Amino acid sequence: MNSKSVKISIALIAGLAGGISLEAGNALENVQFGGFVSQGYIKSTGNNFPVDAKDGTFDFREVALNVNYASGNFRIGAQGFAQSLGAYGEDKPILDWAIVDYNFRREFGLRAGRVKYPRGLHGEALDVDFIRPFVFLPTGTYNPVLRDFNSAFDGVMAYGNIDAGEAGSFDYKLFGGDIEMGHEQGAADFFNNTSIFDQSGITSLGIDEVVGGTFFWNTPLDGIKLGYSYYEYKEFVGSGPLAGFPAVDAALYFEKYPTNIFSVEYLTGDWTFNAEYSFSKFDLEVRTPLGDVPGAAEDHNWYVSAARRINSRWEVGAYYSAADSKNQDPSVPASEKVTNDWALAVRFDATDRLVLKFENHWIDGTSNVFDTPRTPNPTVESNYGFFAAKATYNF
Amino acid sequence: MKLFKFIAIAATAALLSTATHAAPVLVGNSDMSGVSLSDSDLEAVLLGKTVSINGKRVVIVLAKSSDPQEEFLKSKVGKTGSQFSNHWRKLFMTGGGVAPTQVGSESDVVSKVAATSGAIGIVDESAVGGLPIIVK
Repeated sequence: MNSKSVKISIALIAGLAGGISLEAGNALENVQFGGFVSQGYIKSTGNNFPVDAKDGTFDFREVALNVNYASGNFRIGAQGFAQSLGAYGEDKPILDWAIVDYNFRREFGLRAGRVKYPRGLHGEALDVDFIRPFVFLPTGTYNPVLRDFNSAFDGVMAYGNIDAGEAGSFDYKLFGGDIEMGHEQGAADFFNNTSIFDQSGITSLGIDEVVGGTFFWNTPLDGIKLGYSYYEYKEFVGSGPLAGFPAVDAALYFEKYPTNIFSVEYLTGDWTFNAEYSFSKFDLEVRTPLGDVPGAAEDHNWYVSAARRINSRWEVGAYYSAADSKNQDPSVPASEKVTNDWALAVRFDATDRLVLKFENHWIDGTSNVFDTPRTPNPTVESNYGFFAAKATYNF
Repeated sequence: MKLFKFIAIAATAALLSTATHAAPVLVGNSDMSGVSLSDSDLEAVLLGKTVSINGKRVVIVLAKSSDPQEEFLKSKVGKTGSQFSNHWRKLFMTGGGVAPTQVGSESDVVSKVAATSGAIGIVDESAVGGLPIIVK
């Protein structure tokens, strides 16, 4: 979907809302401001993971400011965001989301603009860390380095909730658009970490289109929600100087890059249990001036997590997250094909607005460990971990 | 004799408790008079899936802390107050909805709902203050 289509969609939704009256007296009452600011610390041991942090780093912070206006079934809003995560983000302000929304009825609404990317239980809320005890979401399914790539798309989304009587209800979201990408994003390091490109890294990264949807069943069983998400990048390509021959360019090309996610959430009393399994299977091509080399790969991730609110101040949580590249190459050591991550987190609500968190990870397997200029790991250890602390103030 | 005394005291305490905490109800602004919601519609409204009733944008008014509110949310939406707040924080911070209005106490809920078109709030039945009851 190109930017012209997005602009037309926004205009249509805005047009649908043409009947609303923006009386000056009420307009300001209907405006809301919000946001958050956080500062954290990461110290990794063994390997630089999830970012360059073996020496400890305070390059771990976020700031966001949003504004919303609603009247009748119509709503507009936008949020600016800046992040520093190791060498990624560099506090550069970005437009995080900016939407025009018209909710026709419970069963059907339309949202257009830069829209938060619905995938799994947490895809839309990657940065909203004050709603959970964890500093980092399970690192296999929600790799923090991919935040700048997986957070939002420019396009249109239809959504709704369908009452199914005794069977509960169903939530759906269907979307299409494109994602603003650049070689400076964290996603680029997945390309830079291959042996295809020169150490200087890729110089361009992009897709033609992303399409997908989420479907959640709010079951009649108390607190149980089941979900399925699917999304697909089309014409996904990164290109840059070829390793060994930097005078010529190479490209890593995916005609389609599909991902499926199955999700379960169970809320009971003060407990929250989550589990998700995601997999991607795709064909690829390494394109060089000497010819194209086809290939195929897959990626499997899953996790189970539990969190318990102890009282109004304290919450604890733990998860086990696994990533498996299903790499069949016998020359690659088994420990480089998987990542198994155990995490334990403690959250303390110092005030209604200020949240402090402490979290430790014990990891084996290095499939998600980079060796790039931004996250160097010239030697890699199969057993490693990291500690993270974070303070977030939301308003 | 001691047993009878204990039962009498316990029964009195239970009655007093009932008198001071009848049952939580959802009340609305006067422009919500005559509105009734099924359990499913109520859940959709409280979770932001339905954004208007009778053509009025719904404004959810929440007390910072309230036993009736906690009880109502658990029984009707299946979420604790903390889980409910997190649901709305997630929506608000991700472009998914407009956040509920938070006030200090149950009496503030009544006055805010009374003064705001499209507003709804959860209070004890004994404290509705003349507002229309939408869901008991």
